[in-house]
Amino acid sequence: MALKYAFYTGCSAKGVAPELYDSTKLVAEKLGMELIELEAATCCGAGAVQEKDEFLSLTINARNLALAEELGLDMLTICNTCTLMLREAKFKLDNDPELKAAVNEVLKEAGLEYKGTIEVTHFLWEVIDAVGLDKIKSMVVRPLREFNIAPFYGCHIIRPPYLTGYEDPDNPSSIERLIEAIGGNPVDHDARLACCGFHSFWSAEDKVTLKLTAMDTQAAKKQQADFMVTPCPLCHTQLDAMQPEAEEKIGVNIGMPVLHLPQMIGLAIGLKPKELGLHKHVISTKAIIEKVA
Amino acid sequence: MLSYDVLIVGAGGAGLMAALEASKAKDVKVGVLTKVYPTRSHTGAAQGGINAALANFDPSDSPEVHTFDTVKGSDYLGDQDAIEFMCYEAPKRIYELEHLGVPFSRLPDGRIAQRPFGGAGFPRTCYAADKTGHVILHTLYEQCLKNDVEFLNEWFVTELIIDNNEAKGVIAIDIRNGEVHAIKAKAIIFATGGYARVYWVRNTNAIGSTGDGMAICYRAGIPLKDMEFVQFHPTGLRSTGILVTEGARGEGGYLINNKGERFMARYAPQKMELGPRDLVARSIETEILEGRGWGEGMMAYVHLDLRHLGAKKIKERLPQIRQLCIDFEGVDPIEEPIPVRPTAHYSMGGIDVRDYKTSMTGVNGVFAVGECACVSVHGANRLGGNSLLDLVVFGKPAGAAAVEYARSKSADNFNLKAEEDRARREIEALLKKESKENINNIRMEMAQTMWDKVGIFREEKPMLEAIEKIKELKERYKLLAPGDSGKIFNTALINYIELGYLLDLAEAIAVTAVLRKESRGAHARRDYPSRDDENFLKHSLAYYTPEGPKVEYSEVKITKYQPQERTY
Amino acid sequence: MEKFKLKVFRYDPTKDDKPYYQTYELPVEKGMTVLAALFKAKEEQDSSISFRYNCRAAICGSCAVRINGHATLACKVQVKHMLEKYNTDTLVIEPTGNIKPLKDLVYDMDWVIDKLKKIQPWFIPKEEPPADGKEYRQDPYDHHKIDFASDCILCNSCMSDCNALKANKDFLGPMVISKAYRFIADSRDGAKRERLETVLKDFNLEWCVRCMECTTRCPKEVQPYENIIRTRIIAAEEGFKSPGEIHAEIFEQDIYNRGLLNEMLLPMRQEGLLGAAKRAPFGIRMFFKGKVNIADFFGGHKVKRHDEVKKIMDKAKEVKKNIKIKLISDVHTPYEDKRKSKQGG
Repeated sequence: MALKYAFYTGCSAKGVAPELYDSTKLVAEKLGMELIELEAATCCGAGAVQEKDEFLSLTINARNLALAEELGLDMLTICNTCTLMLREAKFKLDNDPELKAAVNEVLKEAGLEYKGTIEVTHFLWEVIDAVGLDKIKSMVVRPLREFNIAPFYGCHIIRPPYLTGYEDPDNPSSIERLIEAIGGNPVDHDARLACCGFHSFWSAEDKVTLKLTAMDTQAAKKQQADFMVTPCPLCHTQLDAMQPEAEEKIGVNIGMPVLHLPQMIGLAIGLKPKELGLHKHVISTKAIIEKVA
Repeated sequence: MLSYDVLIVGAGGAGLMAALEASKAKDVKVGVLTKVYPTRSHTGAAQGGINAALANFDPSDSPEVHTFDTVKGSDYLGDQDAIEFMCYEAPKRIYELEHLGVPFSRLPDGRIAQRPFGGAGFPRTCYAADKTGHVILHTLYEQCLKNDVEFLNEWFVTELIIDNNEAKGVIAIDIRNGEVHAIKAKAIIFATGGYARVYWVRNTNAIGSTGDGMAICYRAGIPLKDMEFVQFHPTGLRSTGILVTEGARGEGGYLINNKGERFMARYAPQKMELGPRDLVARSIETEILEGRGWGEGMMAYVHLDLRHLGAKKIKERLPQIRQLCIDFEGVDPIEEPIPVRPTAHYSMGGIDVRDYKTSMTGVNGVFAVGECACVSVHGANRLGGNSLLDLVVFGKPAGAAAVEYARSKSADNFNLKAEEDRARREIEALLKKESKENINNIRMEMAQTMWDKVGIFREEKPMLEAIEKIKELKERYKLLAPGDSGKIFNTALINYIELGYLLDLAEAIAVTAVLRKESRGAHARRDYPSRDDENFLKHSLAYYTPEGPKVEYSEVKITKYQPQERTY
Repeated sequence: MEKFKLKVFRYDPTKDDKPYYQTYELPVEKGMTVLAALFKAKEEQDSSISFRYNCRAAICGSCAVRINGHATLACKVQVKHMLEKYNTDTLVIEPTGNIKPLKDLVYDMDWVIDKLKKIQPWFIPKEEPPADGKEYRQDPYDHHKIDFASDCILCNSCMSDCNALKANKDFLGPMVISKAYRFIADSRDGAKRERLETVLKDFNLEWCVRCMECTTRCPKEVQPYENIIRTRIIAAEEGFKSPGEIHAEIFEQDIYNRGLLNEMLLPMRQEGLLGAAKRAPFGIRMFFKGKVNIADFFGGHKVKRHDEVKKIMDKAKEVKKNIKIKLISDVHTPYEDKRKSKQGG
């Protein structure tokens, strides 16, 4: 059965994390997932629009959802926050007929309608449920046997459960199972379910954000992880690109590489580090690249 | 030495209402002592609502009708002057609560919403969804914070000190560091809640509802009034006694015994599971007594089966009850029947209040309000929605009266220090004492005795046996010790003292229940099935003696309503 | 009978230099809550364990603890369910996180109350009561806005697992801000701006990292996270300018003008030239890593069908005026029930 999705890239994969976009496309293709990119989709609001104008955020996401409905395909996301914002919009619209009607009154301006017929899902969930771990296992050509890999779920793929709904937010296992499927070693660490701090960056960079970033990367380092892996580009930006600032903040050298989920899968199924964009990371992935070579 | 003009013991609805009123007097030093943080008090568990004839929903309601409903509900044992006072004050107190910020549910025009409740002629119960007690408790606490009321949180009172029929102070333990203190106080208001925990697991009350203030006052010589009256609810969860509301039966749940029978057919063939509360409670107990339940002793139960309603209906119509069963009993009613049994809910009896306008007891400077007090406005049975009302209506004037009383008293030379030293030595000895008994055994035996013999069914012989059993347990209690010598947060010590309180109260309940040879309200005797106004239209008063309670009686105040047969 | 281990955090500052764990073996009984297990351990094995409790019915808020790392009310969860949830034979019981333990599972509640007092957690009426002495009128929709927020039982489950509080103890915390919201959103309350100024001091309100732990932990569906957001919305409506408000404006403008966020121009717009200078090392780093599309510095490209977006956003501002959005409810449906389409639901 062909796996076909309406592909919602989000801003980060089109902006500061091009390596996520590239690696997702490559890996998806290898795994037999056909991604029809929603080129007309806008930003999900990322929680920012949501905290200023709830109704506006609902209408722009209703439009995003309606674009996938036009294709008759479930919407595949590659960012935790996009996943949550779109699922939140869907939850609110599906549970409140009056609100849905009001939103549709707006969408009518552009000849669109939100019906509520498709699901919003995340790449991680589809890799596990639709592609299947058995298939992944069978495709592994370069098992990541010698790697201790620290999963970093990122908040918005597990919490709050009334919106995410995929696995127990207190004891998820999807990333660990995936790591095992590609032959790697999942390591348990204190920050596995913690927050990277991204969303308070502009208001509490020093007071909160960088402290969390430091705690998270240090927790992985404490358990001798070779790298962290995350399904979210915002966590990635924070943990990877902002790690130097976090190091500076606490005055400790950490140097913990962070991979995007599809990059990790890609390495195991034989894609080259370069095509997966491993060189585009701020924290050097050289050691990983050398080991897989 | 800590010293207050007005000391309030207990920080539930009644205590906080009194504190709020008392704290308006800036010339008087007010303290509130509580064994839990104020918002942990049991008032927060009251769900249904608070009665007041606002006539928002039905303009023909009035305080007068409310008065009559309450008198009738009390089975004519309530004092009619006090009931009238309560029902006429009720609207004013509700508006006051609203002005303090209580988020009451609203009618479309923005006025406070009201709904119908058992025993009331009109929809009279004001509410905030299913959390009325919770929002009242929190609002009162918030207002006390605003008024900078001084709280002694996590302090536990062990004794009331009286001299020459006058309040002098209390002995209390600071639970946080284990220090024993005498606290000097001119006026002391007890607001410590009910005593349903004598039935331990078979009750809906908080674990801390151990009747502390009642036992303390009782031991200090103040009588307890109408202790034999305890209200039961037909369905509580097996393990915890937590209430499963009528909703489950209302939606069509079946009560099933171990023969698989819908046994209510035997007791109420027309109404079946929707029969009156007391009938359903008695029916379930009969099934269990006659061996048609499951489980043993206090853990016996029948089934409340919802499965035939189907997953969809249960999820849509009874989501809260379903969650309650999953969380507290580990049973999903979609898949399994709910194990239930009746459960004690409210204690009508309490510290004998002599003057409803001030809530003062027979001892000068000692006041009692809320469930720990018996004014009496609930008489032999309390109406739903009247308990929260009791707290706010009587809490407020008690606070004002305590201030007045304290102002009238000048400092005296009573030697509280000697009492403090004695109490400290006693507690220290307790901590060193070795235990030869287990607290849970004594407590469960007390609970089972009270449940089986002085519970829903009452009869002379078993009740006499219960009195003997309680005496035996009191002896065994002497062999018990806290078992923890720690200073800070020694909750074993607190639990130990609480059990002592409960044993005294259990005895008072049993003795007054034997002597009341009639059935009235919640007191249902098999050997005396009817009400006997000629001999028992009177309040019982239990006085503490080392040998057990000495019982006297006092008159019931009847003003407008002559006793009639009580039918609904 | 099946057994399990109850591994309890123990600490008595008058006796112990540092905390330790003590394990009690207990039977797994049907209907046994974690609170009941603590009592069983206390009454049968070790009377010195201290923990708070009262209602045992999830309304008094006394008994919040961490079970296997996550805060919850001990009285509201079944031992059996917890063992299944964590696929284990051991339940690790610790005091709430982020708050100092005083003894064993008992934590420093006064610290929390002092925090609460900062936001004046009491009703301050906007006006004198009506002349007839009756109630303030409140529209049912206005009541609805504070309905869930007033469910809070001050149990500290949310405070325990809050990530922002973990990083900085000066954060007011979800419970406190949620309490502030309960008054800020109360149509009868008169101290809205004052309260907003308090929570916005040092932009404390915006230290929240949106980790959603609070809403996930809350045993009463108070929705602390959502209340934080609702507070921010009210702050924006009241005209408060904060980093979050500026941030939201940038997002809104970008969606309106091009569809996607321009991350490269964000620092300059967020923090001005000075800010942009501060971020220069970051920008240069990103540029040399090949992460940056140079076109983005000149505004970047637009999404397809962008004309629709403008129309919709303009219309939304108009329609918004006539709609009263209901607060979400039912935020605790078990997660298994949720994801329907994939798994044949």
